[in-house]
Amino acid sequence: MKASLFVTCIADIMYGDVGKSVVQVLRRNGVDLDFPEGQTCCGQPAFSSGYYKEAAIVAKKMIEVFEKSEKVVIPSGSCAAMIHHGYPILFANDPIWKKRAEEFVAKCYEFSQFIVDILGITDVGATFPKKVTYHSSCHMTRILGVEEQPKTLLKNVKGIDFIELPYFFDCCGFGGTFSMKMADISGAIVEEKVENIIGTGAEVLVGSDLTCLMNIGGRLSRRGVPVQVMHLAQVLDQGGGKNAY
Amino acid sequence: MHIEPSFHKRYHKALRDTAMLKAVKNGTGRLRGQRATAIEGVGAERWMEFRNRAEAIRLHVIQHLDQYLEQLVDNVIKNGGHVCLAKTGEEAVQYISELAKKKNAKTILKSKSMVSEEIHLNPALEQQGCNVIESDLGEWIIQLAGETPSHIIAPAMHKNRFQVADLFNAVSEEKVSTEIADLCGFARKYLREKFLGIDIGITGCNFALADSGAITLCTNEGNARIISTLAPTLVTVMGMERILPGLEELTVMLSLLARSATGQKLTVYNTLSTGVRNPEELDGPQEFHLVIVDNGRSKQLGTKYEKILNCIRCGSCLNACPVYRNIGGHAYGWVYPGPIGAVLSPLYQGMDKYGELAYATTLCGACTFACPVKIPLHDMLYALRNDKVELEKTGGLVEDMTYKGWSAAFASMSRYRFSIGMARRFQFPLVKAEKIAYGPPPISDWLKHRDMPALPKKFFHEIWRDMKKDGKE
Ligand code: SF4
Repeated sequence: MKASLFVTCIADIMYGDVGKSVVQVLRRNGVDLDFPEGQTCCGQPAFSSGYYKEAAIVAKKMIEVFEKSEKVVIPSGSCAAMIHHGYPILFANDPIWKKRAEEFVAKCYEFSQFIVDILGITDVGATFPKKVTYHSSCHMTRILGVEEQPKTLLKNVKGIDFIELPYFFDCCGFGGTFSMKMADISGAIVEEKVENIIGTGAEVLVGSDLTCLMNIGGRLSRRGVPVQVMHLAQVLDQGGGKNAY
Repeated sequence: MHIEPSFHKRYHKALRDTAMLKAVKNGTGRLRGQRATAIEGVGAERWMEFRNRAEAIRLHVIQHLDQYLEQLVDNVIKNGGHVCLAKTGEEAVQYISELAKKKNAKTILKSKSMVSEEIHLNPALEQQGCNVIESDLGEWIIQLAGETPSHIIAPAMHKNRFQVADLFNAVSEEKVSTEIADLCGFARKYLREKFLGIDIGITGCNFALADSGAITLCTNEGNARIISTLAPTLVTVMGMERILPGLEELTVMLSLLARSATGQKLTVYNTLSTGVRNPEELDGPQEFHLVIVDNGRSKQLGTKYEKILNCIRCGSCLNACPVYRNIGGHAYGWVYPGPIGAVLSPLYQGMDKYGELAYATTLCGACTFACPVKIPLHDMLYALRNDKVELEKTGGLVEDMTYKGWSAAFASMSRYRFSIGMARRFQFPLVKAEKIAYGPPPISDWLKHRDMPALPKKFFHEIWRDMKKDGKE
């Protein structure tokens, strides 16, 4: 199957390794993947702050960049949700771009959603003998409606000890600029999340949204808690997999 | 109670109040846990059906609000009641104050009413010498404390039992212990006596039924029922949107309200009162006044925020909200806290005063999912932010510059790659062991509570290039 990778700005800038794992996992599972030049960001930072015009400028660019793609895979729940939920709002009053946006939306999938729902794969053949818990990110579950797919993939990893995170559905407190604008409230919220993670006794926290993971990981690091933070793709990339290079 | 005008200062004060935060976390934790159990009992699918029906009912009412209001007013008058349509809070207060004067009222008993808090009714009545007593336990506690409600359905959620005992002991002749049963026992005894000398009773209104003019009152303590039975003059204060067509719709709403608010299948006392007593009846008021308050509501009709009028004040969005759970209700500044308050306050009271609340959210969407009538609260928070940028032509100086610069850079791959390349090159003074722990504004705000990973040696697009070179393309 042919697909294009929209790696997202956060992965491009901060977490290149996650992008690499995404590529490896998808290729191993038979995806003919390309990485269209010109891609930057879905526009979420501006959209969330109320700057719809600025967001639309960047969103249009992405729609153009992926015009020729058959399917687009995005390793970030909130960016996929931004496209699905935000683009129709951005272009509600612009019939031409609305149509182009709809076509784009229809082919955009979050990473785990793509593997489970489109490829029809629930076991990618990874091995990861560790105690793992999973944080469900808000926009991915509530707005995009992708909740079980990442957990299904995780639970099928060989050797994994999956522990459900108490209040896994609670926000981690990131909220984009909220984390800086109202840093102290955000700090209190992420502290709750970290306490819940510590309570599970997990060695690894897994998630599908790099910004949430950067937030939670940053707090774990500040407190010196030795819990490793990984994107789902990095876990699925462990242990060679069935068609390892 | 003095209210600090800056949200920033208010929430910082809240973050330091550990007793309050503990009480709020306990309270919200209990309520949302009970709600989750209740929904499990119904089944997720059926719950969704219920919500869809409730949403449809509310949408229908709001779209035909003028018609239903007219029908309600006609029926209340037919039943022998009086109606005041108050455009503003002041008008409503004035009407009730004058009535109290006319009746020479000394003792006024109230059951819980958020609208009466909204229009500042108590201080006005007290100023003219009335003894106003709140009969809802939570409301009475905060009245004793001289505070305002911090939660829509549990006004004293922010207080623990030790604080409550102190408040009770200040008015009690005998010592009241800190045991919950003792506290409740004392409140019951104390308030019961007050019911007997009542001149005017004031209630809120959960739902007014247009087809009969009946007022529905839901309480777990039965206090509203006592008031509506014993008060010679009864006043009900309602927001103009709190109408349902009739009993059929009420049954749907009552089961949703109770489950969303407290996880109960039904609130303990559901009273329907049609106003004045008939000649052959032994109890009920001799005079009934329905005060219908607009106070910013009608201006939402026909706007993108119209759905906010669907709200049935269940408080579920507060319990679901991570921000509410971590700062409590008072920090929001106006009567309605949490996500519903963050939307209502700027809409009813003005962006200039409460616009900041649109940013008091992580936009996690938990509120929208908790809402029994499916108000897209978090979408409205986005829209409010957009309104600020579009209508006020600025979302703040720094923000304006940031997002103009951002869109210019991120709309072009070369400019984007150039900017992030510069950031990587100049981050070195801040990086220690591949992470950043200290830095200048604005990242200093981020770094207050967490570290930040340093920008790695290779961006993904560079890794991709290498993968291609390695023949793995
Ligand atoms: S907005 Fe919805 S959840 Fe919040 S109080 Fe109103 S009805 Fe309840």
